Amino acid sequence: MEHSPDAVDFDRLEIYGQRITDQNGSTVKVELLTRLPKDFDYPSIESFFGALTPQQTLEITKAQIQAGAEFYAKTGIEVSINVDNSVLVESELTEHLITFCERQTHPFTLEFTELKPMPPSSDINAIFFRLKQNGIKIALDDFGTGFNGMSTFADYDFDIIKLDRSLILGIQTRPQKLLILKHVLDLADALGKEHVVEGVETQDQLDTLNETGFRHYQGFLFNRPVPLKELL
Amino acid sequence: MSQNDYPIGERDAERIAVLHEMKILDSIEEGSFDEFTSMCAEIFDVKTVVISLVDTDRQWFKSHHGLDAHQTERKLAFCNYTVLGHEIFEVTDPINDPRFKDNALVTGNLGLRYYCGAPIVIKGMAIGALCLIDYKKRAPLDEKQRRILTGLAAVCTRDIQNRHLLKKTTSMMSSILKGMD
Repeated sequence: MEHSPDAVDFDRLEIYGQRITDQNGSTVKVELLTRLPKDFDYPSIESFFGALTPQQTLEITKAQIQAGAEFYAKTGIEVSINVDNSVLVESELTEHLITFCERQTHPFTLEFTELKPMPPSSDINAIFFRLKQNGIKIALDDFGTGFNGMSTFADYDFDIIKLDRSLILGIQTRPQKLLILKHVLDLADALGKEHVVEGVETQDQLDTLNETGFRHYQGFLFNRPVPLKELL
Repeated sequence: MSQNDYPIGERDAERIAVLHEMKILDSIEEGSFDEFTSMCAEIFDVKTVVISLVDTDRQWFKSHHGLDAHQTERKLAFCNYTVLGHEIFEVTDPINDPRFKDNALVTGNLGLRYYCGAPIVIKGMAIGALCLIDYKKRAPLDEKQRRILTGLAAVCTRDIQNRHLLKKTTSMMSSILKGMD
């Protein structure tokens, strides 16, 4: 690793946004993403994040919450922000996040991934409960990728599921897969949970998903992530 | 009896395990449960109706119509007595009841004067109770009212079970989908 993450100047990280849209392509929310300046010596964004301490990921999250406040004030559109699961492992960081969130007056969503393990639900649901008392929504990102057999969804209390792109691959030619996907949507609706289908890339896919009853999308078909200021 | 003392059933650990299995503690407010407690308050003409779940050292309210708190310490819970059995537990005169006369819910600002709980029984274990609470003296429920409260507790029980099953099924569907790549 050429760069020590400690040397990273967090102010130089660029905040990008990708729109989450409804069936008509209208923006319902914007997910905030981090991009590295070109002169940073990391092969990928993943390797950069992999080298960060939990504390550093929290600093990035906090900067995005602040950027989200500004964005919301100007546009009235809520943002969705990724939180590294490691922040939930260290209670000091978790408290820091909750306190920081409690100071905010704008609504927003925090996303946690199913790709990485999470501490036991008995601890985490109490944390989610406190965040939600403050009007924050909690999303399960990468739903459908959990590798311990079952999804994190059964045990943890999420408001929103973000269906991973892998779940919609080939749905136009595989009726059985589409049928199960439709059932997931019906279950989410019955539980009063919101959904977002990620990785929508073609009009055909979108048509099939619309016919199936899905309502919220994110993907290259609608737009690629762009610097947040371009979405103002 | 001081207010620190409350009875604990012999199978309390098993009872709590069933409660935890339902994955409902600390969940967000859900409209269906709130509509339900609001309706119960109308039916019985009481100020407060809660769905209380009795955890290791607290009672946590899935819904709390007419009460601000979303949990209390377990030692304050009248429901400790309700979850000992599978029958309705009613207290019409807590001030003169040695079990409750020193309880802060009775002696404090809340001024609880009436409690009636019907247990929520899952897998043979009373994980909590549907509770009617009031702040003035009330006559005990008559037989018909007791039957209605028991029936409503059964509806609430099924709601908790169905909610859990829907979540589990959703998870299972996603793992089936994953296997279809």
